[in-house]
Amino acid sequence: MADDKKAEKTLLGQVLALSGVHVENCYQCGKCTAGCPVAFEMEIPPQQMMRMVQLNLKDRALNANTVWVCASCETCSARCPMDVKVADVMDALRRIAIEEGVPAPAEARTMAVFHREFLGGIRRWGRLNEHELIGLYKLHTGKFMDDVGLGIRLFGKQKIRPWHFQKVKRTEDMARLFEAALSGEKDGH
Amino acid sequence: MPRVGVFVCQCGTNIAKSVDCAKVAEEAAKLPYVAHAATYVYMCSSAGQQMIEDAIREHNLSAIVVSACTPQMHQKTFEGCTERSGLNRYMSTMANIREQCSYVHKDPELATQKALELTAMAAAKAARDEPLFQSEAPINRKALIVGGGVAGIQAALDIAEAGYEVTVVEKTPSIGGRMSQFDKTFPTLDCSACILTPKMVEAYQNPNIRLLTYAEVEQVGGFVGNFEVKIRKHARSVDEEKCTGCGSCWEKCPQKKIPSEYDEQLGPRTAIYVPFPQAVPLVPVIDRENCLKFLKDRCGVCQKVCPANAVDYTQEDEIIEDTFGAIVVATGFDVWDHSDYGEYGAGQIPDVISGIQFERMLNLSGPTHGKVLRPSDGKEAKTVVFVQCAGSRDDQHGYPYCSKVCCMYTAKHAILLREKAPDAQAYIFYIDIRATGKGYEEFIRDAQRKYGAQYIRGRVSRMFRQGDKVRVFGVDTLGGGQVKIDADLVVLATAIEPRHDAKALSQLLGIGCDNNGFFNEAHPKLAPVDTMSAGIYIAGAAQFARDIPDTVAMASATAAKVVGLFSKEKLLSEPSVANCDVNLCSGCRACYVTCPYDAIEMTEHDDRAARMTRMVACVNENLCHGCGACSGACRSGAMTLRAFTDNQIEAQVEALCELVPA
Amino acid sequence: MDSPERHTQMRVAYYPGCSLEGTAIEFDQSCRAMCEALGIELVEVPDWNCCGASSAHFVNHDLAVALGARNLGLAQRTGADQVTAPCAACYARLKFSEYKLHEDPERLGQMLERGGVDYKGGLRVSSPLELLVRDYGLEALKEKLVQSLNGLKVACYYGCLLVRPTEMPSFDDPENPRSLDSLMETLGAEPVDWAYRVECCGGGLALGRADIVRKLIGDILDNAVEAGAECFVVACPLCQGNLDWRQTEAGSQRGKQYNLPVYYYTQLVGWCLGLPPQRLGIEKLLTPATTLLERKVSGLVSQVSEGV
Repeated sequence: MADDKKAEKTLLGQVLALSGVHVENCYQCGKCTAGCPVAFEMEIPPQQMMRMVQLNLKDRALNANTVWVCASCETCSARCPMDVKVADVMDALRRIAIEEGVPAPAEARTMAVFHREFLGGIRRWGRLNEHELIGLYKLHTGKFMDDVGLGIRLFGKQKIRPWHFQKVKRTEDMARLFEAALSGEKDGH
Repeated sequence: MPRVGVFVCQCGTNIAKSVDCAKVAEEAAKLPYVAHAATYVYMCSSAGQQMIEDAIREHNLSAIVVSACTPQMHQKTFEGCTERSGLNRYMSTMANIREQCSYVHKDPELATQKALELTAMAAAKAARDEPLFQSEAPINRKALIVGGGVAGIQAALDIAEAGYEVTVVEKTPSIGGRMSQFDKTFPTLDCSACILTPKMVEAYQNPNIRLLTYAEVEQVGGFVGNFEVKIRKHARSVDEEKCTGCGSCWEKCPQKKIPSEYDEQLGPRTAIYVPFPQAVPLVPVIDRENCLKFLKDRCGVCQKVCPANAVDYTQEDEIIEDTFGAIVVATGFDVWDHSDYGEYGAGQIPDVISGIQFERMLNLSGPTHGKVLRPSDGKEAKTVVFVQCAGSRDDQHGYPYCSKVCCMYTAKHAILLREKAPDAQAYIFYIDIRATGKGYEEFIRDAQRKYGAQYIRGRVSRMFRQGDKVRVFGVDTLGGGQVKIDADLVVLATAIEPRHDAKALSQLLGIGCDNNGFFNEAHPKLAPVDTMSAGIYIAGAAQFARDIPDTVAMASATAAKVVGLFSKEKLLSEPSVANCDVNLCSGCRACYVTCPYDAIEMTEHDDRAARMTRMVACVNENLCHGCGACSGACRSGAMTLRAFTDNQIEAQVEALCELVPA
Repeated sequence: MDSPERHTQMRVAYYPGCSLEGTAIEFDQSCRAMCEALGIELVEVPDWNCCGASSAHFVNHDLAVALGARNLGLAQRTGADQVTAPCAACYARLKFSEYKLHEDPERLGQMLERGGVDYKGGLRVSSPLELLVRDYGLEALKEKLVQSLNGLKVACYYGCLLVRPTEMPSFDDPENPRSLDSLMETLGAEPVDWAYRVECCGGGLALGRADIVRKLIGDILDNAVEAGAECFVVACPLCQGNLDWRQTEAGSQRGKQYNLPVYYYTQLVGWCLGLPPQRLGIEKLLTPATTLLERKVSGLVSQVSEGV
């Protein structure tokens, strides 16, 4: 038991508990990095992230923009010869960063805001209100002028129809479901 | 009244660290039938053995128990003690208080108690031991070798050299095996054929060696010294006696586009063919599935042009039955098929080939006459990407193991590429370089320094056709960053894997396979060429991925085993085998169906008391391994295992129950 | 043999998902129209919620499973044994929930109870593509076609989530998928042999990191053009959005003008079934998409209508 507790405190143990992935299986062949479509933007490429986890270098792993740039395309997981689900590890690291209040690096902050507002939206309405998401995203990132032209074109095609949004009828169910899922974290799930 | 002596070994501190050996001896002395008990630091030492022998004489002991390590290690040692002391050698029993006790238990009190219990059980058995005697069987001094590659050839030559007859069964039309496909060998860059063909010729000419090519083992029965084997010699459609190997037939054969197995599908062969010019025997076979004569009853050109009148379309498979004293299995390896490797093109990109295909390409008598050409358009390849560990070290798509030879042959390929085309560039994607033989590390360095091979540490993620090139997405984990190369040719160092029919052969021979499908050796360290079946040995890549020197060394080792076996006058077999009391046997056949070694036959028994003839079980002691499955299955108590009789086992259980606190 | 009667009895729960109510409205329209024409009855999952797609699994595994599972529970109430989700992301998330259902059933049960549903498994999650290729059958589909795409050179773009994660059973090969290609061949198009069919477009990075998306789709566009494609066919609103809406930006970055319409496969099937373009929302695609199809129209009509 004591050993288990100790293991959980290490980054390797935390990742295992959250994702079920045994990162110690990684032997650094680099196939994940080789096939990653967004590795060119990452401060630390995927295979080095696995190394950071193995060595429990939490600060270096979480302070890099890597987890926020990851597009979750799952190519890494699909091709790993050792069955290390790299994308699941990225999910786990992102969650650890959020829970432990590690701020996303400046240039990755936009993605952090995106995820926060995305989930906030479905917690409120049960469904994603694309227009609200875009609005809140712009508000919190200050990127008001990005994609304005695109927005106008979509509006013209009647693809943006703010008046049309329908929320889930039983929004209270959604709130309770969120509560139940998120409360589990503190119970050590 | 039996008089048992108990000897408790301390094994230095291996046992004594958690077992109180003196206390075990002291308590053992109080057990029924125990006349003497002692402990000593190393019972297996000369002094320890002397101590046992002296005690047997002094205390007039009838049987002994040695509480020490596993009987696998020292059973024979202590049987020597009983034999030298004038007792029957089988009046010796071991209790394993090391592997089964001191190694695995930390608590001294409990460990001591368990050691005593194990000793008491052994003493109860020993008190009921009966003298046993080995049985004898004759040895048939002929060896069978399955597989005619370099391993099979070497074993055959060594055994023949010692004066014994050898039969080599080879599945393909020629001996030579994988080594005959290679262009050069690492790390010396010897021409592979130049060093192999003399051995092939020698095997062909040696009067003690019979080569059966285009043949397969179909049935194996019997036991060490007396294997009864049925061999199917496939119809060659050519009379081996008459054929002179002149080549008229295959030159004139109109079926010229059959993919050559020998050239790994890169080049064509004819329907009547020899796989390669130096084939032994130099006698063609007709591939009936592709021959017009057999398909459509047309053509017949080969028969017309044959000056020796050797072509015989009516020839049939021949069954050869023979008895052999020993068998060497040297069936070699297959290479992993990369067609289920989606990210590397699933076998659909013509310019992505395997290492062994590249080997054929490099060869002057190969499909491209030694030029490195793209299979897609026949243009010379200048940028060549080598990908190591394709299917090796890959739990997901291939095999977990390292294939051992790929690092070396890939370096060789890079060197030969540069020799063929000085302006060509090799890029080698690797994970680790494993170069652990004599001259191997130096060879890798040569490839890098003298031949300019670019080693890039990282696995390739994906490759696809891009125009007339193959685009390779890789990574340089040392330099950092992704690597994109547009290659003319990609060579995959595909994994070495067991022969696809290894499993079937293992069942035929009664030898096991490991998790990956290679044949199992009897012991990974101490019996690497033996199998669990006496008289059957394994050599070369049939056991695991091997390079040529290792393969040849293993082959010679099997030959030494065979020659050692044949040098005996007769075979003595262990007596702790099953025995059937025909008076009790009801003929229910429960043992017959249970026996994993086919050692039980049902025979007629003339039952005089009942005045009738009935069927009873009979044990072939040479086949019996003494596993005890039959005596467990027998309901009438007729089947007993010598030295492990029901009586003895019950006594052991009772001895244990007496000691265990209620 | 498949009889048309059998297909009229197909009844499938339908999960549109958020995008199909919003910016991917034409995927919804064309999917419904296509199924109606083929006699596949779609029953919309009552009071469905967002599957959590691009964000939930990023931050909380349990939440990701529970969001999908609530929809499965609601879908089961329709009485159908299969739920189909056109959006590849929704499809992957629902499939993931079904796959992970038995990981910690007790905890999931509690979460779902709070969410007002009960689900113990048993539904098959499919993509309408799977429905067409595997259940309906391309031979049966062929019988219903009234016009052909007549050699339209199309790049079939599968993206990520139709074929990954690979730990879940997939209806197509993850590295070299064929289902869209076979479907396009059935419609008379000529799928081009190209390499980027399963490369990522950047997906959910579109809003936060449009710069990355522009680079990724630029590579995809270049590869498709090089292979001779006149247009794309896709199965995912994220892929469609990125390739279609940001095509001009990506082009101007590289000094190119691509002009490759990005169709949903449901639109092309609907087109060949003879449905009016407005019902398929073809005019809603940003890169002009109608002219190319009109140019390819031809007369498969006679043969098929006689058969029916």
